[in-house]
Amino acid sequence: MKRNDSEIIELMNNNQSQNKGLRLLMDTYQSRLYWHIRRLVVEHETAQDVLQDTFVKVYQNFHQYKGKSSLFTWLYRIATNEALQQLNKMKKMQTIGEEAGYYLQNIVANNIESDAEEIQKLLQKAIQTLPEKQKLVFNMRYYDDLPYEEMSEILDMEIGTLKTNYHYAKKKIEDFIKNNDHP
Amino acid sequence: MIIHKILKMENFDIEKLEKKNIFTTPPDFYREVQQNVFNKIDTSSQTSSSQTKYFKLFVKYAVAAVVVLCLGFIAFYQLGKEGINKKSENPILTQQTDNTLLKTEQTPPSEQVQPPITAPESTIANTETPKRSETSTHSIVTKSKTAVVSPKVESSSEQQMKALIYSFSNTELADLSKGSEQDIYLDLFN
Repeated sequence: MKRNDSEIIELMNNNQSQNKGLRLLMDTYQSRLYWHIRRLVVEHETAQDVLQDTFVKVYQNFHQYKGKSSLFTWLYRIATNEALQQLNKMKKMQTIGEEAGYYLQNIVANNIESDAEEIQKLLQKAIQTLPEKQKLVFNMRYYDDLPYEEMSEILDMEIGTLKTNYHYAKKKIEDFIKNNDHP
Repeated sequence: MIIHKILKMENFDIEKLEKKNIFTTPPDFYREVQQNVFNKIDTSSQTSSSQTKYFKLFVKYAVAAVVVLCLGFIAFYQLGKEGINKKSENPILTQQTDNTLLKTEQTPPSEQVQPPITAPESTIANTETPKRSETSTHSIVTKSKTAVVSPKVESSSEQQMKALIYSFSNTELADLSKGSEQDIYLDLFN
Protein backbone atom coordinates (compact mmCIF):
# COMPACT_ATOMS: atom_id res chain seq x y z
CA MET A 1 0.00 0.00 0.00
CA LYS A 2 1.24 3.46 -0.86
CA ARG A 3 2.45 5.59 2.04
CA ASN A 4 -0.15 8.18 1.29
CA ASP A 5 -2.91 5.61 1.19
CA SER A 6 -2.26 4.29 4.69
CA GLU A 7 -2.13 7.83 6.04
CA ILE A 8 -5.38 8.74 4.28
CA ILE A 9 -7.10 5.63 5.61
CA GLU A 10 -5.94 6.29 9.15
CA LEU A 11 -7.13 9.89 9.04
CA MET A 12 -10.46 9.01 7.45
CA ASN A 13 -11.20 6.32 10.01
CA ASN A 14 -10.80 8.80 12.85
CA ASN A 15 -13.80 11.08 13.44
CA GLN A 16 -11.56 13.89 14.64
CA SER A 17 -9.40 13.94 11.54
CA GLN A 18 -11.83 12.95 8.81
CA ASN A 19 -11.81 16.34 7.13
CA LYS A 20 -8.04 16.38 7.06
CA GLY A 21 -8.05 12.89 5.60
CA LEU A 22 -10.52 13.92 2.93
CA ARG A 23 -8.41 16.90 1.93
CA LEU A 24 -5.34 14.68 1.61
CA LEU A 25 -7.35 12.16 -0.42
CA MET A 26 -8.58 14.84 -2.79
CA ASP A 27 -5.12 16.34 -3.23
CA THR A 28 -3.77 12.89 -4.11
CA TYR A 29 -6.42 11.61 -6.48
CA GLN A 30 -8.55 14.48 -7.75
CA SER A 31 -6.59 14.97 -10.98
CA ARG A 32 -6.69 11.32 -12.08
CA LEU A 33 -10.33 10.95 -11.18
CA TYR A 34 -11.26 14.23 -12.87
CA TRP A 35 -9.71 13.25 -16.21
CA HIS A 36 -11.23 9.80 -16.11
CA ILE A 37 -14.66 11.40 -15.61
CA ARG A 38 -14.00 14.18 -18.13
CA ARG A 39 -13.17 11.75 -20.93
CA LEU A 40 -16.54 10.10 -20.36
CA VAL A 41 -18.79 13.15 -20.02
CA VAL A 42 -16.70 15.63 -22.07
CA GLU A 43 -18.04 18.88 -20.57
CA HIS A 44 -16.02 20.47 -17.74
CA GLU A 45 -19.00 21.61 -15.62
CA THR A 46 -20.53 18.14 -15.74
CA ALA A 47 -17.21 16.52 -14.92
CA GLN A 48 -16.72 18.87 -11.96
CA ASP A 49 -20.17 18.05 -10.58
CA VAL A 50 -19.57 14.34 -10.94
CA LEU A 51 -16.16 14.63 -9.26
CA GLN A 52 -17.66 16.51 -6.32
CA ASP A 53 -20.43 13.96 -5.95
CA THR A 54 -17.81 11.23 -6.03
CA PHE A 55 -15.87 12.73 -3.14
CA VAL A 56 -19.02 13.32 -1.11
CA LYS A 57 -19.95 9.67 -1.58
CA VAL A 58 -16.44 8.60 -0.62
CA TYR A 59 -16.67 10.65 2.58
CA GLN A 60 -20.12 9.31 3.51
CA ASN A 61 -19.28 5.68 2.75
CA PHE A 62 -15.64 5.43 3.75
CA HIS A 63 -16.59 3.06 6.56
CA GLN A 64 -17.48 0.55 3.81
CA TYR A 65 -13.93 0.46 2.47
CA LYS A 66 -12.47 -2.73 3.87
CA GLY A 67 -9.05 -2.60 2.21
CA LYS A 68 -9.62 -5.63 -0.04
CA SER A 69 -8.65 -3.54 -3.07
CA SER A 70 -6.34 -0.58 -3.35
CA LEU A 71 -7.76 2.79 -2.35
CA PHE A 72 -7.44 4.09 -5.90
CA THR A 73 -9.36 1.11 -7.29
CA TRP A 74 -12.20 1.78 -4.84
CA LEU A 75 -12.26 5.48 -5.69
CA TYR A 76 -12.07 4.78 -9.40
CA ARG A 77 -15.05 2.45 -9.16
CA ILE A 78 -17.16 5.07 -7.41
CA ALA A 79 -16.17 7.72 -9.94
CA THR A 80 -16.99 5.37 -12.83
CA ASN A 81 -20.45 4.64 -11.43
CA GLU A 82 -21.17 8.30 -10.88
CA ALA A 83 -20.06 9.15 -14.43
CA LEU A 84 -22.17 6.37 -15.93
CA GLN A 85 -25.20 7.56 -13.97
CA GLN A 86 -24.60 11.04 -15.34
CA LEU A 87 -24.37 9.67 -18.88
CA ASN A 88 -27.68 7.85 -18.38
CA LYS A 89 -29.28 11.10 -17.23
CA MET A 90 -27.89 12.85 -20.29
CA LYS A 91 -29.30 10.13 -22.56
CA LYS A 92 -32.75 10.56 -21.06
CA MET A 93 -32.55 14.31 -21.55
CA GLN A 94 -31.67 14.05 -25.25
CA THR A 95 -34.22 15.10 -27.93
CA ILE A 96 -35.97 12.31 -29.78
CA GLY A 97 -33.89 10.80 -32.57
CA GLU A 98 -30.61 12.24 -31.38
CA GLU A 99 -28.33 9.66 -29.81
CA ALA A 100 -26.07 10.44 -26.91
CA GLY A 101 -22.99 9.44 -28.95
CA TYR A 102 -23.69 12.09 -31.59
CA TYR A 103 -24.41 14.60 -28.86
CA LEU A 104 -21.07 13.94 -27.19
CA GLN A 105 -19.25 14.14 -30.53
CA ASN A 106 -20.78 17.54 -31.09
CA ILE A 107 -19.78 18.91 -27.72
CA VAL A 108 -16.19 17.66 -28.09
CA ALA A 109 -15.56 20.49 -30.53
CA ASN A 110 -16.74 23.04 -27.93
CA ASN A 111 -14.57 21.63 -25.18
CA ILE A 112 -11.17 21.13 -26.76
CA GLU A 113 -8.29 23.53 -27.24
CA SER A 114 -8.56 25.37 -30.50
CA ASP A 115 -4.90 24.75 -31.35
CA ALA A 116 -5.08 21.04 -30.65
CA GLU A 117 -3.86 18.70 -33.39
CA GLU A 118 -6.45 17.51 -35.84
CA ILE A 119 -5.64 13.88 -35.18
CA GLN A 120 -6.21 14.40 -31.47
CA LYS A 121 -9.58 16.01 -32.19
CA LEU A 122 -10.56 13.09 -34.40
CA LEU A 123 -9.38 10.67 -31.78
CA GLN A 124 -11.65 12.26 -29.13
CA LYS A 125 -14.63 12.26 -31.48
CA ALA A 126 -13.94 8.64 -32.37
CA ILE A 127 -13.90 7.66 -28.69
CA GLN A 128 -17.38 9.19 -28.26
CA THR A 129 -18.77 6.88 -30.95
CA LEU A 130 -17.89 3.80 -28.88
CA PRO A 131 -20.47 1.95 -26.77
CA GLU A 132 -20.24 2.77 -23.08
CA LYS A 133 -18.32 -0.31 -21.93
CA GLN A 134 -15.83 -0.14 -24.81
CA LYS A 135 -15.26 3.54 -24.15
CA LEU A 136 -14.56 2.80 -20.49
CA VAL A 137 -12.17 -0.02 -21.26
CA PHE A 138 -10.35 1.99 -23.92
CA ASN A 139 -9.91 5.09 -21.73
CA MET A 140 -8.72 3.11 -18.73
CA ARG A 141 -6.20 1.16 -20.79
CA TYR A 142 -5.09 3.83 -23.23
CA TYR A 143 -4.98 6.94 -21.05
CA ASP A 144 -4.66 5.59 -17.48
CA ASP A 145 -2.46 2.59 -18.28
CA LEU A 146 -4.36 0.42 -15.84
CA PRO A 147 -3.42 -3.25 -15.81
CA TYR A 148 -6.17 -5.62 -16.92
CA GLU A 149 -6.34 -7.18 -13.44
CA GLU A 150 -7.20 -3.84 -11.89
CA MET A 151 -9.68 -3.04 -14.66
CA SER A 152 -11.32 -6.40 -14.02
CA GLU A 153 -11.79 -5.44 -10.37
CA ILE A 154 -13.19 -2.01 -11.16
CA LEU A 155 -15.53 -3.03 -13.96
CA ASP A 156 -16.32 -6.52 -12.70
CA MET A 157 -15.48 -8.03 -16.08
CA GLU A 158 -13.31 -10.96 -17.09
CA ILE A 159 -9.82 -10.13 -18.29
CA GLY A 160 -10.48 -11.89 -21.62
CA THR A 161 -13.59 -9.77 -22.16
CA LEU A 162 -11.63 -6.64 -21.37
CA LYS A 163 -8.94 -7.48 -23.91
CA THR A 164 -11.53 -8.20 -26.57
CA ASN A 165 -13.31 -4.94 -25.85
CA TYR A 166 -10.08 -3.00 -26.08
CA HIS A 167 -9.14 -4.63 -29.37
CA TYR A 168 -12.52 -3.81 -30.99
CA ALA A 169 -12.49 -0.28 -29.58
CA LYS A 170 -9.07 0.39 -31.06
CA LYS A 171 -10.18 -0.94 -34.45
CA LYS A 172 -13.30 1.23 -34.51
CA ILE A 173 -11.31 4.33 -33.60
CA GLU A 174 -8.77 3.75 -36.32
CA ASP A 175 -11.52 3.18 -38.90
CA PHE A 176 -13.34 6.33 -37.75
CA ILE A 177 -10.24 8.44 -38.07
CA LYS A 178 -9.50 7.07 -41.56
CA ASN A 179 -13.09 7.58 -42.74
CA ASN A 180 -13.48 11.06 -41.31
CA ASP A 181 -10.30 12.58 -42.50
CA HIS A 182 -11.28 15.52 -44.74
CA PRO A 183 -8.29 17.20 -46.29
CA MET B 1 -0.37 17.16 -44.44
CA ILE B 2 1.06 15.35 -41.49
CA ILE B 3 -2.22 13.62 -40.82
CA HIS B 4 -2.28 12.28 -44.38
CA LYS B 5 1.13 10.80 -43.92
CA ILE B 6 0.04 9.17 -40.72
CA LEU B 7 -3.16 7.80 -42.18
CA LYS B 8 -1.45 6.44 -45.23
CA MET B 9 0.89 4.42 -43.12
CA GLU B 10 -0.04 0.81 -43.36
CA ASN B 11 0.70 0.10 -39.79
CA PHE B 12 -1.17 3.05 -38.39
CA ASP B 13 -1.58 2.50 -34.69
CA ILE B 14 -3.12 4.91 -32.24
CA GLU B 15 -0.84 3.49 -29.56
CA LYS B 16 1.97 5.36 -31.27
CA LEU B 17 0.18 8.68 -30.97
CA GLU B 18 1.16 11.00 -28.17
CA LYS B 19 -1.37 10.75 -25.38
CA LYS B 20 -2.57 14.26 -24.73
CA ASN B 21 -5.38 15.87 -22.78
CA ILE B 22 -6.73 18.39 -25.25
CA PHE B 23 -9.82 19.36 -23.24
CA THR B 24 -9.91 22.89 -21.83
CA THR B 25 -10.03 23.46 -18.08
CA PRO B 26 -10.54 26.62 -16.03
CA PRO B 27 -7.53 27.64 -13.93
CA ASP B 28 -7.29 26.41 -10.34
CA PHE B 29 -10.70 24.76 -10.37
CA TYR B 30 -9.57 22.01 -7.99
CA ARG B 31 -9.73 24.47 -5.11
CA GLU B 32 -13.36 25.15 -6.00
CA VAL B 33 -14.00 21.40 -6.14
CA GLN B 34 -12.67 20.87 -2.62
CA GLN B 35 -14.59 23.84 -1.22
CA ASN B 36 -17.83 22.61 -2.78
CA VAL B 37 -17.26 19.13 -1.41
CA PHE B 38 -16.83 20.40 2.16
CA ASN B 39 -19.90 22.62 1.78
CA LYS B 40 -21.98 19.65 0.66
CA ILE B 41 -20.71 17.52 3.51
CA ASP B 42 -21.56 20.17 6.11
CA THR B 43 -25.04 20.60 4.64
CA SER B 44 -25.72 16.90 4.52
CA SER B 45 -24.52 16.32 8.10
CA GLN B 46 -26.82 19.11 9.36
CA THR B 47 -29.73 17.68 7.39
CA SER B 48 -29.11 14.17 8.65
CA SER B 49 -28.88 15.30 12.31
CA SER B 50 -32.13 17.26 12.05
CA GLN B 51 -33.72 14.34 10.23
CA THR B 52 -32.56 12.04 13.01
CA LYS B 53 -34.09 14.37 15.58
CA TYR B 54 -37.40 14.49 13.74
CA PHE B 55 -37.39 10.73 13.29
CA LYS B 56 -36.84 10.17 17.03
CA LEU B 57 -39.69 12.56 17.83
CA PHE B 58 -41.91 10.80 15.34
CA VAL B 59 -41.12 7.44 16.89
CA LYS B 60 -41.99 8.74 20.36
CA TYR B 61 -45.33 10.12 19.18
CA ALA B 62 -46.09 6.93 17.30
CA VAL B 63 -45.41 4.81 20.38
CA ALA B 64 -47.59 7.10 22.51
CA ALA B 65 -50.41 6.90 19.98
CA VAL B 66 -50.22 3.11 19.90
CA VAL B 67 -50.34 2.94 23.70
CA VAL B 68 -53.37 5.23 23.84
CA LEU B 69 -55.13 3.19 21.16
CA CYS B 70 -54.47 -0.04 23.03
CA LEU B 71 -55.75 1.41 26.30
CA GLY B 72 -58.82 2.73 24.55
CA PHE B 73 -59.48 -0.60 22.95
CA ILE B 74 -59.11 -2.42 26.25
CA ALA B 75 -61.47 0.05 27.95
CA PHE B 76 -64.00 -0.30 25.16
CA TYR B 77 -63.80 -4.06 25.36
CA GLN B 78 -64.29 -4.01 29.11
CA LEU B 79 -67.32 -1.74 28.82
CA GLY B 80 -68.79 -4.00 26.21
CA LYS B 81 -68.24 -6.99 28.42
CA GLU B 82 -69.96 -5.32 31.36
CA GLY B 83 -72.89 -4.47 29.16
CA ILE B 84 -73.28 -8.05 28.06
CA ASN B 85 -73.06 -9.22 31.66
CA LYS B 86 -75.84 -6.83 32.66
CA LYS B 87 -78.02 -8.01 29.82
CA SER B 88 -77.47 -11.60 30.73
CA GLU B 89 -78.70 -10.86 34.28
CA ASN B 90 -82.11 -9.72 33.00
CA PRO B 91 -83.51 -13.17 32.15
CA ILE B 92 -83.23 -13.91 35.85
CA LEU B 93 -85.24 -10.81 36.72
CA THR B 94 -87.83 -11.36 34.01
CA GLN B 95 -88.10 -15.02 34.92
CA GLN B 96 -88.77 -14.12 38.52
CA THR B 97 -91.28 -11.54 37.45
CA ASP B 98 -93.04 -14.03 35.17
CA ASN B 99 -93.36 -16.38 38.07
CA THR B 100 -94.71 -13.60 40.24
CA LEU B 101 -97.23 -12.57 37.62
CA LEU B 102 -98.35 -16.08 36.97
CA LYS B 103 -98.95 -16.51 40.64
CA THR B 104 -100.85 -13.25 40.73
CA GLU B 105 -103.13 -14.24 37.88
CA GLN B 106 -103.79 -17.65 39.25
CA THR B 107 -104.91 -16.36 42.60
CA PRO B 108 -108.61 -15.81 43.05
CA PRO B 109 -109.88 -12.43 42.04
CA SER B 110 -110.65 -11.57 45.57
CA GLU B 111 -107.09 -11.84 46.50
CA GLN B 112 -105.89 -9.80 43.60
CA VAL B 113 -105.45 -6.16 44.23
CA GLN B 114 -105.17 -5.01 40.63
CA PRO B 115 -104.28 -6.58 37.35
CA PRO B 116 -102.59 -3.46 36.06
CA ILE B 117 -100.26 -5.08 33.71
CA THR B 118 -102.49 -6.61 31.09
CA ALA B 119 -105.54 -4.29 31.21
CA PRO B 120 -106.17 -2.78 27.80
CA GLU B 121 -107.61 0.39 29.22
CA SER B 122 -104.59 0.68 31.30
CA THR B 123 -102.79 3.89 30.98
CA ILE B 124 -99.58 2.17 31.17
CA ALA B 125 -98.00 1.79 27.79
CA ASN B 126 -96.93 -1.66 26.96
CA THR B 127 -93.72 -1.48 25.17
CA GLU B 128 -92.96 -5.11 25.28
CA THR B 129 -95.55 -6.55 22.95
CA PRO B 130 -94.18 -7.46 19.56
CA LYS B 131 -96.09 -4.59 17.88
CA ARG B 132 -94.78 -1.95 20.23
CA SER B 133 -91.43 -0.35 20.01
CA GLU B 134 -89.06 -2.09 22.23
CA THR B 135 -86.86 0.84 22.81
CA SER B 136 -89.31 3.19 24.55
CA THR B 137 -87.97 4.64 27.70
CA HIS B 138 -90.82 6.91 28.77
CA SER B 139 -93.41 4.41 29.85
CA ILE B 140 -93.74 2.29 32.88
CA VAL B 141 -92.90 -1.12 31.64
CA THR B 142 -95.43 -3.89 32.12
CA LYS B 143 -95.30 -7.51 31.28
CA SER B 144 -97.80 -9.42 29.19
CA LYS B 145 -98.30 -13.12 29.39
CA THR B 146 -97.16 -13.72 25.86
CA ALA B 147 -94.40 -11.20 25.55
CA VAL B 148 -91.03 -12.39 26.56
CA VAL B 149 -88.40 -9.82 26.63
CA SER B 150 -85.25 -10.80 24.88
CA PRO B 151 -82.35 -9.54 26.88
CA LYS B 152 -80.46 -9.05 23.68
CA VAL B 153 -82.83 -6.38 22.37
CA GLU B 154 -83.37 -4.15 25.43
CA SER B 155 -81.22 -1.12 26.10
CA SER B 156 -79.49 -0.57 29.40
CA SER B 157 -81.85 2.26 30.37
CA GLU B 158 -84.85 0.02 29.87
CA GLN B 159 -83.22 -2.56 32.02
CA GLN B 160 -82.73 0.00 34.74
CA MET B 161 -86.36 1.02 34.50
CA LYS B 162 -87.45 -2.56 34.74
CA ALA B 163 -85.34 -3.12 37.76
CA LEU B 164 -86.90 -0.08 39.36
CA ILE B 165 -90.42 -1.20 38.58
CA TYR B 166 -89.83 -4.71 39.76
CA SER B 167 -88.72 -3.26 43.03
CA PHE B 168 -92.28 -1.90 43.54
CA SER B 169 -94.85 -4.16 45.12
CA ASN B 170 -98.19 -4.82 43.45
CA THR B 171 -99.90 -2.44 45.79
CA GLU B 172 -97.55 0.35 44.94
CA LEU B 173 -97.94 -0.33 41.24
CA ALA B 174 -101.69 -0.18 41.57
CA ASP B 175 -101.46 3.17 43.30
CA LEU B 176 -99.26 4.47 40.53
CA SER B 177 -101.58 3.31 37.79
CA LYS B 178 -104.55 5.03 39.34
CA GLY B 179 -103.03 8.41 38.85
CA SER B 180 -102.00 7.96 35.22
CA GLU B 181 -103.87 9.15 32.17
CA GLN B 182 -104.94 7.23 29.12
CA ASP B 183 -102.52 7.35 26.27
CA ILE B 184 -104.62 8.14 23.24
CA TYR B 185 -101.98 7.11 20.73
CA LEU B 186 -101.57 3.67 22.14
CA ASP B 187 -105.27 3.25 22.59
CA LEU B 188 -105.66 3.09 18.83
CA PHE B 189 -103.84 -0.15 18.66
CA ASN B 190 -105.86 -1.93 21.34
